[in-house]
Amino acid sequence: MDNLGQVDSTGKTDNFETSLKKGVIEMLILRVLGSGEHYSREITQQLAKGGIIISDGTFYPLINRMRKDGLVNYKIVEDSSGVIKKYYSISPQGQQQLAQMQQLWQKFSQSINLIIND
Amino acid sequence: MIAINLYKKKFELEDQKSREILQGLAIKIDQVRDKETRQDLKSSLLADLMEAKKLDHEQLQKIASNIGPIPEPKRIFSKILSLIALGFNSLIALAVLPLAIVLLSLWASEPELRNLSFLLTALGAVVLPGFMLLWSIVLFSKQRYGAVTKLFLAAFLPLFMMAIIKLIIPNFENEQLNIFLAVTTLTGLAYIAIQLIGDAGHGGTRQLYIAVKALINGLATSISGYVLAIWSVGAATVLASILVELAKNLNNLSINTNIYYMPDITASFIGLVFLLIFAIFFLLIPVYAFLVYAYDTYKSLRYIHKWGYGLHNYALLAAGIALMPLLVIIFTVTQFNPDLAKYKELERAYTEGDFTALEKVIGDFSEADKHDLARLHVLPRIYMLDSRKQRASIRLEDKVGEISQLGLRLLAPFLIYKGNLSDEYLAAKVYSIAFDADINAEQADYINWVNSNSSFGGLFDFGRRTGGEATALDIKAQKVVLEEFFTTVEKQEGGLLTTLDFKFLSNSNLEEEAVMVFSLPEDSVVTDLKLGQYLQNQGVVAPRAAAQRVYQASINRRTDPALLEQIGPRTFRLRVYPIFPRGSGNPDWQRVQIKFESDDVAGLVKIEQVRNLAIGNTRVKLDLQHKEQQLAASSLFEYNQIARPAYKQDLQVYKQTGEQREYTLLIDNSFSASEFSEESKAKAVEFARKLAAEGYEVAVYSYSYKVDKLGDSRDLVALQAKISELEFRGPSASDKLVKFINSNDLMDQQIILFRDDSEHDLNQLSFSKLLSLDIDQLGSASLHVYDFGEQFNSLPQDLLLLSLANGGQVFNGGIEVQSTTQPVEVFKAGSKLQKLAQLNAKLRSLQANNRSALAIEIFKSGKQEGILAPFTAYIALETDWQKVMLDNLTDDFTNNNSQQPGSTDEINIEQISFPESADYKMVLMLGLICSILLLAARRQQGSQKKLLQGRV
Repeated sequence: MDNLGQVDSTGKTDNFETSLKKGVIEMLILRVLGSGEHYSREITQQLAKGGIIISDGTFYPLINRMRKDGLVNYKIVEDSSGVIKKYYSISPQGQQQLAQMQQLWQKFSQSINLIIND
Repeated sequence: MIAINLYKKKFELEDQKSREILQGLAIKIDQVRDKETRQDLKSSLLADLMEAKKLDHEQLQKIASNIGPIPEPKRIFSKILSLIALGFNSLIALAVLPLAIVLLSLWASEPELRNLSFLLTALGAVVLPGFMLLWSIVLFSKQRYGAVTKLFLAAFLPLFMMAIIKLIIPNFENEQLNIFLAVTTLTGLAYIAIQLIGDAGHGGTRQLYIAVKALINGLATSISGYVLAIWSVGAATVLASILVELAKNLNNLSINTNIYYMPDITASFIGLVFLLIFAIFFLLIPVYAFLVYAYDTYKSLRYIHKWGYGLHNYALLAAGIALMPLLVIIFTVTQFNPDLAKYKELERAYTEGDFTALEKVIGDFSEADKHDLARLHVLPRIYMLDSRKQRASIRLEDKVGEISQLGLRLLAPFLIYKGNLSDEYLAAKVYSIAFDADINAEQADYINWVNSNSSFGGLFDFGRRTGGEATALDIKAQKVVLEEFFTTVEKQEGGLLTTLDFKFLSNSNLEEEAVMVFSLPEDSVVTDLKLGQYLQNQGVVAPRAAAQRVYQASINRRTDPALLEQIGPRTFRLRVYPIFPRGSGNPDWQRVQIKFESDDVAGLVKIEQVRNLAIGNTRVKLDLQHKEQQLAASSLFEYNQIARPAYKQDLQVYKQTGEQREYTLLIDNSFSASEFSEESKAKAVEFARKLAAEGYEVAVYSYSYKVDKLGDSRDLVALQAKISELEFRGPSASDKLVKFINSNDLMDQQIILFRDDSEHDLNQLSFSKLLSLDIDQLGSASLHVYDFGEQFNSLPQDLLLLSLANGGQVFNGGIEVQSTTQPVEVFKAGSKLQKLAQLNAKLRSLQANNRSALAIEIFKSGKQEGILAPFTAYIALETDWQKVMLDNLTDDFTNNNSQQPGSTDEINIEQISFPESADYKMVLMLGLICSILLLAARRQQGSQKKLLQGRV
C-alpha cells in the first residue's frame, strides 16, 4: 500500500473499482427493486446514496439486458409534464437470482475479509 | 414524441453553446443501437431537462456527465475485416512507394508525359494509398465503423491495386486509363476535403458542412439510382452474353466472341470467369450504393428537420434529389424511342462493315437528320432529348463545339456512345457517307475536344491524346505516321509467306521512335527483318539481351536500328529508330519489312498497340485475279475490325485458288539529284496509276539509294567514288539487280524497270550493264526495262498494257529482256515451323540447371534457321560499329560469359485479353467512383459521430 500513489497514477485502482462495480451492480439493482417499484432515476439515486454512482449510459443498457433476461419487469407512466417514466419491479425469477447472488456475495466477502484481515 | 420535446427544448435554450451541447447529446443517443436503451436515454435526458431549474451550459454539462459514456458492443467481425483492410492498405502503401518514384521521375523526364492526367495519376499513386493506410489504422484502433463499410474498404483496395497494376503494363499512356486514375485521384482528394470540412465543423463551417452533405446526399442518391437503372440493363446484357458463350464453349474451354458491350473479346475460359465475376461485382456496386445513398438522404432529411438547419438546406437536398426524375426520363426516352431501331441498324451495318446496308439506312434519313446523325455520333443520344421536329438541324461543321453547355456535359458520361475507342472515327465515317465529303481537321478537333470535355462533366481538360489507341482523326496529334502498311501473302509449299511492309513518316520536329505491338497468327514463324529507306539493312537473329543493348546504344548514338521481339505467345513488338523530322535534310521516312511463315489462314496480323504512331493508310494486297481484293484501311480500328476479317476471307479463297500476279515498277533513282529523282518517281507513280486503272496490281519500288544532291564540280569526284560503292553500281550491277529481285520475292512478277535520265554517265554505264544480265538468274520474272526520260509523256500506253497482259515482251525505246520459264524456288515454310516447334518444345523442357546451355542452343538453332525463337530477337543495323558490338555481345553469350539474354517469362505467360471497350472501362471507372462516393458518404457519418462525441 506504500505504493498507492504510484498505483493510482497508472489507473489500476480505477480499473479495480470499475471491475468490482461491474460485478455487483446487477445484484444491487435487484436489491433496490426488492424494496418496491422504482423508476430509473430513483434506482440510480438510491445506489448513489450508498456510494455507487453509475451513469445513464451504463444503467440503461444493463437494465434492458436484465429485462430481456426476465429479471425485472416495468410499466410506463407519463407524468403531468409529459415526461415518460418507466417503473421497474423485480420479477419472481429476479428474486430467485437476487437470493443466489446475495448468498454468493456473503460467502465471497467473508473469504475476502478473512484473507485481508489475516 | 420524445424527439419533438427535445427539439422544442433546444429552442428554449438561450445560448448557442448550450444548444450545441444538447444537440450533441441527442445525436450521441441517436447512435445507440439498442432501440429500447435509446428511448430510455432520451426519456431520461428529457426528464433531466424538465427537472432542471435553470438550463445553462454548466447545467447541461452536468446532465451530460449523468449520461456518461455509452459502451459499444464488441464486434469481432468488424475487427477481422478492419484487420484485412489494414493489411491490404499496408501492402498497397509498400508497393506503391517505388512505383510513385518511377511515375514521378517519368513525368519529369518524358516530355510527352508532362500532362495533368499523368501528374494526377502519379500523385494519386502516392496520396491515396497513404491516406487509405492512415485511415485503416484509425479504423482499426477506433472500431467505430460498421462491418459493411469495412468490407467495402477491403473490396475497394484490390480494385485500386488492379488499376495500379494496369498502370505498370507497357501501355500506361493509355488515355482511358489515365483519365480513370486521374478521376480516382480527384475524387479521392475531394473526399478528403469534404471530410476535413466535416471534422472542422463549428459555427458557420458546420452550416457549410450540413449544406454540402445535404446536396451530396441528394445528388448521390439521384445519380446512383440512375446508374443503377442503366447499369442493370448493361450488366444483364453482359451477363447473359457471357453465360451464353460459356454454355456454347464449355467443351472447348476457350472462346473468341463479340459481346455487345464488350466487343472483340478473346479470352480463355478462365478469363471469361473473371469477366463474369467482374460483371456481377459491378452490378452489385450500384445496388448497394443506391441503398446506402437513399438511407443517407433519409438521415440527412431527418437531421435537418430535427435540428432546424433551415430552409436552404431543405432546398439543397431537394435540388439534389430533383435530378433523379430528369435522369430517369432521359433514360426511359432513350430506351423506348421508336427511332432507335433505325440507329441500331446503322450501328450494326457499320460494325459489321456492311456498307451497302449502311448506305441504305442513311438513305432513309432526311438531310436535316443526316446532320443530326453526324452529331449523334458525337453525343449520340442527345437526339432522344427532343422530338424529331423540335430537333434543330445542327451542322456538325460549326455546331459541335456548342456542346459545351454544362448541363449536357454533366450528362455526357451517361449519354456517350456505347461503341469503342474509335468513336471519333465512326463519326467521321458516318459523316463522310452521309455528306459524301470527308470530315475536315477542324471538325475532327471539335469532336476530340467535345469528347474529352464531355466525358467528365467538363470539370477539367485532359488535352489531346498522346498515345494509346490512335484513330484516324488523331493523325495530327501523333509524332509518327504509319503512312503505308502493305501486307502481301504468297502461297508457298507447306504454307503461306507473308510480307509486312511498313513505311513510317515523321510529323515531329525531333527524331522519333515508332513502337508497334502486333500479333501474328498461331503457328507463325518470323523469318526476316529489313530496315532502311530502301530496305538495305538486313536483320539478323541475335540473343535478345544483346539485341536490346545494341538497340539502345544505337539510339543513344543516333544510328538506325530496328528491333523485333516476341513479347507474348503470339505477340511481337517492333521498335524503329529514327524517323527523321521533315525538312531535316535526312529522308523523312523509314521502312521496315518483316516476313513470317504460317501454315494456315487462321488469322492475320492484328495491330494491338501503337505508341507515338498514327495509322495513315493500310492496304492489303492479295490474289490479283480479283480486282476488288485490295482493301484500304485508314485507321487502326478499320484495319482490325474491317480489313482483317475481309482479308481472312480473301485469304481462304486465295488458299484454294493460289493465283497471284503482280506488276512491280522498279525505279532506279540512284544517281540523280533529288529533284530529278522525285520527278522520276512521280512519273513512275503516274504510270503505275494508269496500270492500276486497267485492273493491274502495281507495286512501286525504289531499288537503290537516293542521293539528294550531286553537289558542284568540286565534289563530283568524291561523289562518284561514293556512288560506285552503292548497290547496282559498277560492273556487277546486273547481278545485284537479280539479287534484289530474288531477295524481295519478286520472282514471279512482271517487272518493269525504269531508269533515270540517260544524260548521266554513271547511269548510262549501269544501264548498259543490264544488257549482260543473266536471264536464268531471274527465275520466272519478266523484266521490262524502259527509259522514260524525255519520252515518257509520249508512251504508247495501250501497246504497253497489251504487252503486259500477254506476258509482256514489248519495250519502247529501250532494251527488252525475255524472261525464262524457270520455276520459282520454293521456300519450305513447313520446315521452319517445324523447327520453331522443336525449339519451343526444348524451351518448355528447360530446367534450372541447364537453362543456360539450352538457351545458347536455342539461339544457335534460331540463328541458323533465320527464325525468331525464344531467347532471341531480330535486329537490323546500319553501321559497322553496331554489328561489331552485336557480335561481341553474341560471343559473350554463346561463350556463356554473360547473363541470360532476355527473360522468356513473359513469353510463357498465358495471355488473357480483357476487353478494351470504352464501355468496359467506363463501367470500371463508374464502379470506382461509386465506391469512393460511397465511402465518402459513410465516412461523413463516421466523422459526424466522432465530432459530436468528442464535443460532449
